[in-house]
Amino acid sequence: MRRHLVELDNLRFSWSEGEPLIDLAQWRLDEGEQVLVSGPSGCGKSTLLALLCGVLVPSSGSIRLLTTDLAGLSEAARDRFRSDHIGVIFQQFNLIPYLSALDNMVLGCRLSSRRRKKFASLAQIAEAAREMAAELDLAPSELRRPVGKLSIGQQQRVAAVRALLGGPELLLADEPTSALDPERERQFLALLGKRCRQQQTAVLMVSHRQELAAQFDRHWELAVPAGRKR
Amino acid sequence: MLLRLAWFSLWHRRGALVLLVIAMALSIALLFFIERLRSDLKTSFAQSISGTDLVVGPRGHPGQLLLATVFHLGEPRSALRIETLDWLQQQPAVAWTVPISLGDSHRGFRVVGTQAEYFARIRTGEMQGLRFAQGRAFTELWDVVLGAQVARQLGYTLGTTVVLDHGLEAIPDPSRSQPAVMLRSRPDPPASSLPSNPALAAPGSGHDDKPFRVVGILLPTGTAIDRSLFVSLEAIEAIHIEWQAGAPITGLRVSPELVRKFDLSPKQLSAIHVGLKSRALLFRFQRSVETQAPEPLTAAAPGIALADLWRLLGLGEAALSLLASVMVVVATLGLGASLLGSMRERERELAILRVVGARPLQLAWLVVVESLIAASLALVLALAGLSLLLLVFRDPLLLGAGVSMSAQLMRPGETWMVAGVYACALGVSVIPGVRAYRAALHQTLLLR
Repeated sequence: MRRHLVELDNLRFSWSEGEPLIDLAQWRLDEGEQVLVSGPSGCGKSTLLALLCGVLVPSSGSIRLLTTDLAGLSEAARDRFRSDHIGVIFQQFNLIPYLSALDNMVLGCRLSSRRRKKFASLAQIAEAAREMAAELDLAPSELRRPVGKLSIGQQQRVAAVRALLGGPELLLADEPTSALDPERERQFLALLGKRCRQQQTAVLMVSHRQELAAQFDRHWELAVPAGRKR
Repeated sequence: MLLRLAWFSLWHRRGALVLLVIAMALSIALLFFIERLRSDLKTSFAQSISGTDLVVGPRGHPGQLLLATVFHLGEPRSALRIETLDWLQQQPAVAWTVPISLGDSHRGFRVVGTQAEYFARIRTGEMQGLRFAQGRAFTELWDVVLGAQVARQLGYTLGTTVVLDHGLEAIPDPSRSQPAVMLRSRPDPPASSLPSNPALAAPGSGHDDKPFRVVGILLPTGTAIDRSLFVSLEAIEAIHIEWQAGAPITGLRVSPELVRKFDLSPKQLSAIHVGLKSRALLFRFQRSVETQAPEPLTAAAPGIALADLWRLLGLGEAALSLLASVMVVVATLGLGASLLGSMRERERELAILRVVGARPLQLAWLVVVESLIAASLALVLALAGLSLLLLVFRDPLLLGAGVSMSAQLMRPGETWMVAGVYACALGVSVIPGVRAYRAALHQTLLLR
């Protein structure tokens, strides 16, 4: 019996007075489930991600992650909760430019004490990062290079390692493949999906490309809210 | 982790930072240099004369008396009678006396007529008496002892035959390589009554009739002693013998052998260094010298008079220190401006760090730590550079400027400057730090 990882109830969010950008009665994400969220631009996909990782607070309703109500946490507690339980991959420019690929990968684990505690030592974090990088098809020689010298595809894989290292329960990805060509996009998603299944990390990926749905357990299409239709 | 991040972040922007760190290092080095120079000058000033309890001279301002006798600045205004020396020696409080006679110079260097006891009695700094690099004190009439800088600058060595002549004008030395010392007579009262006849000073007229011989060269002391030549009081009398004979006659020459036949006991002195049996007697004795001596005298206690003088000079050096401090602040402000300027381009980086788990306060700290690291680099660079420079230029500084500066990396009294530099670095990083904090706090949808 799968438990719910994310529970959204009567969630409403609006940037200002007026029609809410997001208005959801109920939505669930199971543990380990991989979901693609698609929809036209302006439908609130990225806003949903920001709400889920606690950067934004809902106007009304609740977001429960691992049975914790995000809105009930303080700003600092939300920060900690996010870094402990959620990995994030952006569209691009995911990496700290002055750190090596390996240093970027271990960043999350070093900043989150909960994730760090899953490893016996700092050396072990690096070791795990190398292993995962190998799984994601990153050659060991690439790991010491400055991240600026890596291709976009390689950079996104480095970002994926960073997000997944330490086994967060949820991976949030905002159009992580938009800068890749279709073939690389498919490869990247395949590797990512495989790895997430292995470590039981649920995936919520936002994309405007519905055709990627085949690589996910579930496809959720967000519609542009009625009041916003052009 | 934060340190590591800060370090890599700085390294990433090293191009612009190198210049800022160099500017900071230069200003810090300047501040440290001025502060050290200040304290070393003060020390060497105060230690210019440490064995002497009183300097007794003709009535006048004690500061002026010390300037003339210890620093060889200015001319002694009038002379002491030799009877004063006898009177001083008879005082029960007096342990020793060393008379000096000033007023002659040699190629810009002062000539001090004194007794051989001078070298044992006069102390500079912690030194017990003056030490000889080579040779010994003068014993014969025509012996001369050189200060370190005199020997070095004029290239004289032991045994150099020094030929004396005297005239009223400075004699241009036609051949500098020729080791000849011309002792120029002072324009003392009998001399100034002479007609200023260029023929007197004509070179080539009997240079070799009274040769001085270099018998000793002193170690550097960082005081006016380095820039002095020392001869016996009798020699001072001897080089003035033609005038004493009342002979403004061009042709009159007294040979060195013949000179010995004259009465060479000194008739006039410039000042007398006095050592007391007990320092406790200082003030009472000082008063009695000024009231009971056979002629009007001033007795200056070097420590007290030098401290007074230093207070006068202190204003200038305080201004210099202030200027250097302002330079450090300006250079640090440059660092702050650069940090602030970089905040915009770093918004993305801060957003990533935040999402990955860094708290806003940590990000503010990151900026502050970067500033502190830059300040540390500048400090290390400044102190290492300064020590290296002092190590290399120690001797020229001692001989050229008369300042002995040690090449320590840090001195005990300098922690306040280090603290000041860090305080500046901390101060200028507050605004960019707050900026980073707020950027991290208010960044909401930087996910793209």
